[in-house]
Amino acid sequence: MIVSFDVIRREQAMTKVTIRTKQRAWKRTQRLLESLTAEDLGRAAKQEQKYFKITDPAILELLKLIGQIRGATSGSDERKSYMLTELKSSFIYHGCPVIYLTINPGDRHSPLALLYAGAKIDVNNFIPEEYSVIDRVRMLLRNPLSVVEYFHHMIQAIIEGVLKQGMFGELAHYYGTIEYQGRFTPHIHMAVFHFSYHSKLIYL
Amino acid sequence: MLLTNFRLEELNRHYYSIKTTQAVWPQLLPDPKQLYANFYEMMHKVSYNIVCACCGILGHNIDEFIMVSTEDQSLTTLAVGPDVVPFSFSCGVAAIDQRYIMIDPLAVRDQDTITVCNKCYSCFSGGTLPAEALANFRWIGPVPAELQDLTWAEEALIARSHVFGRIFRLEQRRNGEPTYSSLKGHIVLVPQNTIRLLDILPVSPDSLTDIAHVVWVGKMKPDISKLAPQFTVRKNKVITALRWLCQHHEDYWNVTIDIAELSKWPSVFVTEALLSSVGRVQSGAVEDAMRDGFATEEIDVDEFSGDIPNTTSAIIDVNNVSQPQHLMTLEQLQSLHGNLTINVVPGSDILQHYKDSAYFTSAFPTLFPWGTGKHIDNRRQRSLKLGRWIELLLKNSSRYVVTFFEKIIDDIGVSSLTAIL
Repeated sequence: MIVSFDVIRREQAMTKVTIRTKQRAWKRTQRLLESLTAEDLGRAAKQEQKYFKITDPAILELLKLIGQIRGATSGSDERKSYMLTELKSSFIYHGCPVIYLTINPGDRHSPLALLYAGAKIDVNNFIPEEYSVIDRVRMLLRNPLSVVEYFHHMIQAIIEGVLKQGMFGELAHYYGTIEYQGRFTPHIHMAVFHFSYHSKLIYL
Repeated sequence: MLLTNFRLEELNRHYYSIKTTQAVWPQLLPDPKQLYANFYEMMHKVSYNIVCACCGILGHNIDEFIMVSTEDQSLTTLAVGPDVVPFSFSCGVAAIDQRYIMIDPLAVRDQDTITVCNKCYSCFSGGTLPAEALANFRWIGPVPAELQDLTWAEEALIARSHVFGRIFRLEQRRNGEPTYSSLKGHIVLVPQNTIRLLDILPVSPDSLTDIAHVVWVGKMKPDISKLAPQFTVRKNKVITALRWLCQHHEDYWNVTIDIAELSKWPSVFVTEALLSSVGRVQSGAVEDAMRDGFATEEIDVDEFSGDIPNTTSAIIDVNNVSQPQHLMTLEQLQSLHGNLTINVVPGSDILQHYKDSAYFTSAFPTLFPWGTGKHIDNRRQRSLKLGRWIELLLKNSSRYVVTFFEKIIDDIGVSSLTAIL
């Protein structure tokens, strides 16, 4: 699985690089980049350290290019800072979020996750005592995807069935990111915005 | 002028909508019982395991699947010539087998109906073969007895390429003690030529040290005899598996079996080279403490009583956000610049190893026993993107790709987990 993630990332990055180098402006950029030396980079690093503005145009161009390529790759720092900007924009557009949620579905205690992992379970008539902790965890470890699918369906149901139906009022927007615990199970952090009379005031 | 008029109107509308909202504020919230009912209904909709006959994925949402009669004429689109497929693909339903239609046997409900996902059905009922269909050169085939029950070491010995490394964390575990699979330390990555495909197999057991490493956590010295079951190689198994692969696997046709290497092996042996290079960590307590959360106790355990232990929390700058934004990039670039020459060759695209069609199938012979179902296949009518191909494999009804976790975790008494590099 991880191998394929790696390969996909590399593919994303390479495609971006190829597109960049095929552009017409590349000739000029190439000349700029060729003129760069290690000393230039060192000087720029010192400027950055002291929070000064970087003055060298070649360095700026280089950073811009790196940013563009990394921005397309999932999981990179560049991507994260892009997401942060998205979140900030939602704050400006929709006003303060009404609630900040963290949802961490208990995959180890869910019959649904067990069902996805292949256990023969009658959903309407489930007897928890039939499955000990060890059995459950072992079963889920054998089939990590079932945990992810369970998580996905659970969050989907909460968003579609509860938040969008107006648990905190009319839903305007939500923004969430998924993180992973030490044992690699997912949880989500989410900011939920709803329409209120003071929202969009800043926009006006 | 026109624009301002538009804007004015819009602003007016806004103003009045805000005014009305203000008048009726606070609005009544909906009945929570209804919300719970929604949630309940949605969760029940996804509490199924349904297999699509056409693309072989395991889905859960009942709305995404439909029943199709086995007599359905449009199923003929999924027909495959039996001479192209190296194995028998009958599913036990006469109406389908007679027409040589390839479907996932798990999708058969009874002799008259099969389940198909909406996406596939809308595609093949229109007469086009879906890109995702198993019949579109995506068949993988059953795993023969020769390739079953191999240990990870045996698998590594017969694979033509090794695209990931493993780190085993082994430790003595007392009952009830929470353990973490994580590991912290320095790793030196030596660039490897992962594109190279081996033509002479099996590889020497000594070379396993290149792709796997064992770390022992504990004060006591590891008892090698206890660890042995994980690192055992059975010569017979390796030979039969290799012979089978050479006969049936597409990518193994040019492989020579190294008789000289095999004759050096005893019939059953433990990979000594791997175990003698075991790295040791005295105690994992410090590291585990870092990962301990607020509730580490298993709530199912009866003996647990009293307060849930609290730990202090602190902010750790893991992503270097306190540093200037570009500093790390610049420093990295600076370190590269001195000893690296970059040649720019204009014209053609760079050849990437994932563009080799045998990249996955020869690295995981036990997952792709026949070498079929590659991510790139020129015979395909409509090609598949790499990401989609992987997604389909992960969701496959047999969950092929994830099964290699099983063998590692199944071991009792010693906890271990692989970290895939």
